[in-house]
Amino acid sequence: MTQDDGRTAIWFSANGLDWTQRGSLVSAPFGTAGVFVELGTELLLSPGNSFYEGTPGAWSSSDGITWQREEFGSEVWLGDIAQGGGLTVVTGTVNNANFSSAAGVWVKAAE
Amino acid sequence: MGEVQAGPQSCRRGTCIPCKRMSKHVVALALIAVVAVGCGDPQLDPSTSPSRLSPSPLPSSSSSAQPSQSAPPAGAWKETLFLTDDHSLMVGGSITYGSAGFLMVSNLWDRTAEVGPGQLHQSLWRSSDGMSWDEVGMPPQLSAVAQLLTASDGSYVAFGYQPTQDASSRLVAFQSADGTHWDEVKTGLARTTWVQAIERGPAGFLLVGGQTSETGPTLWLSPDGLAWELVHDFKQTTHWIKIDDADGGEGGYVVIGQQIDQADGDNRYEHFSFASADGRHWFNRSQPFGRQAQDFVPEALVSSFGPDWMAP
Repeated sequence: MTQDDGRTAIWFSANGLDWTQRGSLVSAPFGTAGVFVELGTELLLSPGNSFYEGTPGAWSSSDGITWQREEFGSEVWLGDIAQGGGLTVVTGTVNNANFSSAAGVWVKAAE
Repeated sequence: MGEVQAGPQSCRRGTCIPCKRMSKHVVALALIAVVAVGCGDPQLDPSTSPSRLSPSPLPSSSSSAQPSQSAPPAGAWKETLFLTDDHSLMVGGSITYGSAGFLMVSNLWDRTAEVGPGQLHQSLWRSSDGMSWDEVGMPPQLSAVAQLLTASDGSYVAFGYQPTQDASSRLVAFQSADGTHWDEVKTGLARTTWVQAIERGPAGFLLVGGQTSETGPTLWLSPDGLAWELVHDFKQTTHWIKIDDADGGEGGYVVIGQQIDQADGDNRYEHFSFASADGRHWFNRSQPFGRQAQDFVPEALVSSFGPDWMAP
């Protein structure tokens, strides 16, 4: 959740009820609904949403403390994510000119 | 970028939990709104390049999107489908992986309307390998697909809405083994349910029914993704309640939301965390992230992380 300093706080819980702050995301994504999922041993966070609100792009982390930006080749607001067949597939939205946007699919093979 | 108008379920502060910002939920809300006017199937413009496709509301049969592409390198994202034109808002929607591969919904709002986001057209795309995508027909009895799910048997389930004679809409679900032939299934879900999220956990699927003008949030459990049972109803008797996010994992299920005490004249928001190991017995914790600043209340996200949970 977005803090006063604009960073995004990352909270941890062992039981889903009692939470402690574990760190914060330096990239300061906006605190709106987005995509946040566990992919194998990693977390993937896209703080914006597919209506191109909030911060585009996605970050991954293996510990919830250190985050790396994922590279999609364009500024993507993620919409949804699915895994299967050794692939991770995301849908997303890319802002176009003239008040239009494009829908896309991006694929990544499991490492 | 032009602003997209808020969905029809936007609420006034003090009467229910307002949508602080547009969110992914707006897509589903907009789907409910457009059911009454019907939807067309965006089709391909053959003049465009294979990977850059222009949608058109003209009806036609399913068609192939592009030739097969090489597999993506491990660890790198590769764009494999791109739907665009200069006059539409196109939004990537729900996706799932099932018995015939990936199935994805693309949403298109044309810009012909003078006010609001315009009319919605949806298209359904299928890919066996994530690389090459074919447009397949929408479930013919379904005006709008809100969410796709893969049932426990690998079949696809499309949740959406049908118009009713009273100018409202009702939730319906269709099942398909291949993403092309659909049969309606009786789910047990209330017709007014707005499918906000579906998560998988140790007791099966948890469906979050979002707050609407007709209902408070609800939680439903299903062992197979087809037959659902109401396990919790967030009755808005003492608090106005809105769900932000939910997830399932090794440790059970967690739902994060916001609430306002109806007795609080200042209408102060607070987050709450709602957790269950089995999806049936739930425990609540108010203000799990400390006292909430009131000038901006972000929507929380939650994900399982092994046996634990993370919330940014």
